[in-house]
Amino acid sequence: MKKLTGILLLLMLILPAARAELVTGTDEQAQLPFWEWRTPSLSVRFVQRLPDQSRAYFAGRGFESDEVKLIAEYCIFQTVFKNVAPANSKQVIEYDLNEFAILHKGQQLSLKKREDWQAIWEKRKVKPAQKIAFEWSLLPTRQRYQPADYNWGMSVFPVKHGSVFDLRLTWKVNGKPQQATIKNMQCAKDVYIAPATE
Amino acid sequence: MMKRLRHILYITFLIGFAQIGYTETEPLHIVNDKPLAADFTLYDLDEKQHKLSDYHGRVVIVNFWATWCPPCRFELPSMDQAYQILKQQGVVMLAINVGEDEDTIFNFTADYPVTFPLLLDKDAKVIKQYPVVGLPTSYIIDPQGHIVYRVIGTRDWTDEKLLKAILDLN
Repeated sequence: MKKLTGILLLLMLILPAARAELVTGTDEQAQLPFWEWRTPSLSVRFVQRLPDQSRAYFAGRGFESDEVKLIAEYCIFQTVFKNVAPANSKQVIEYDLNEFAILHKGQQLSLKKREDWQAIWEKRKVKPAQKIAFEWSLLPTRQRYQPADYNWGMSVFPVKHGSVFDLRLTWKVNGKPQQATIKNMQCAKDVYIAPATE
Repeated sequence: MMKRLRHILYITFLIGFAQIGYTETEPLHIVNDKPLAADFTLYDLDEKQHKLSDYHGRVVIVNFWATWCPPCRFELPSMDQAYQILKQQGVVMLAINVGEDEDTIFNFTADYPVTFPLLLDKDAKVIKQYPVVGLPTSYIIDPQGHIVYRVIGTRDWTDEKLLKAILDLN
């Protein structure tokens, strides 16, 4: 009986950790595939973005065609990072995109972050309005969330369209490091739909 | 023995249920040390000047947003509803658009009409004076000019608890 009680108590302790799960499906708004890592305190969802969506979005923000072409060469996901912990838990979540790793074809790659792009735009002498739009469109490089806080933003992966890769997430809950790997995320294919001919 | 086992199973179930089912959210987060809000002067769509320090003595909600930001769009209607209540108590609401021009914002307001001022921070100079790293982010400033609450992401601004916290600063 003592042994059984011990097992049950152990189960109670590991229950929250065991509830970490990967959810995949089609995002209702975007109607595109998503990968979401959920734990009792965190939810991070990556929704595919079509290269054409990125072209249209950045052209609409005033980028020149060369720059639009450059951005669309990258694999972009719309990302929603949330602290979903109960309000009374006082759980603080922190992340740093520099600690995330893309595992692809035996290589470990980093996300292309705001600072990387700022350097590119400086070199290409992109106008301030476009630099501002780009900076704020991307997921923050570092962020700290209290319960109910969240951000949306694009995250940029240096892999080819249609690639399948793993993403290792790293974050902290009240300063304690946590890690998870999302297997087989897929970058959207660059689909060209030719105009209909009569 | 079975009774004891049932009791343990019941407690296990309750703990698991509590962790899954408790979804109450904290509407506003307290800012430690309550720093003085950086003063700024910006113009709204009607070219009216707004200087933060001119609102000294009143509670001010400062919201940083952009038209292309989905959560920003999502919270605007509830912000406007809250504003109808809060302005009667002298609360000021300033929504600072980051990096866009008058035409873009003006066209946007056709779909998202709001009654509080929409300010233009075209060169993103004001947002850089605040510790904002993502949009939307809002700050609640007390009548003495100190930042007392912060919100990252959206909230239901008509939430009673949230409204009370803001009005209690008066």
